[in-house]
Amino acid sequence: MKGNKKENQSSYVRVFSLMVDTIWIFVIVGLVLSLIMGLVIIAKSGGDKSIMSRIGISLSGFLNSVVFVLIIFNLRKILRSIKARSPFEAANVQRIKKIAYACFVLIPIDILGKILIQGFDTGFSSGYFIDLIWDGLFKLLLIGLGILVIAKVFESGLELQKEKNLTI
Amino acid sequence: MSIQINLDLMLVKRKMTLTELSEKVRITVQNLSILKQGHARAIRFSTLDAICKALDCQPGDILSYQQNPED
Repeated sequence: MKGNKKENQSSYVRVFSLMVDTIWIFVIVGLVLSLIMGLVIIAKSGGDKSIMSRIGISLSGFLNSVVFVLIIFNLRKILRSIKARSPFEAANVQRIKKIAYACFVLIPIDILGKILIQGFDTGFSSGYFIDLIWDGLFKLLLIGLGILVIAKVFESGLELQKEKNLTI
Repeated sequence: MSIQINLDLMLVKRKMTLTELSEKVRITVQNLSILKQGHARAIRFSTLDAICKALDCQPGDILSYQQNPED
């Protein structure tokens, strides 16, 4: 029964690890694409957007991708340590905290990008910015805070692991 | 901590090495070394039982309490 549970656990980790590895490839491709597309947007003259708006849009897209790369990079390392059956280590607590901070960093980048894409006037008149506050600000804020709580749980787990290791 | 571990003293009295003790109580030398140096946070009754059996002594011969002036 116990062995069965362990097997299930490891198969979950394997599936999740496969998912994260796949996302990792997409995120890396996304990073390269965001860089190329950003340069194309900046270079493309004409249209209703100013050069500063276009630079802002490109930059926000690229920074978004960089933050996603950092999140998935840390997630992969955490998964590796879970696979190695040593999840409660100080480095993992730091990695989880980094993921939470990345979510907080995403908030201004995301909002700035969306405002620039939508445009100030149309954004205000259509009520898009109210939706943006809920969608961009609060969702990421809640996710970030949730992840920080998980980091605290991991910190407690780390303490328990130390206690267990030093119990003879 | 005010709890002192006198394992090394008992080992000398019984003319036994840490490796020999580790074989008898089936605990790694590393873990016994942690215990001997006083770095352990806790000790299981089963471990204490095995050590006392191997060294033919009482728990009080291995553990002692000494008032720490800083406490």
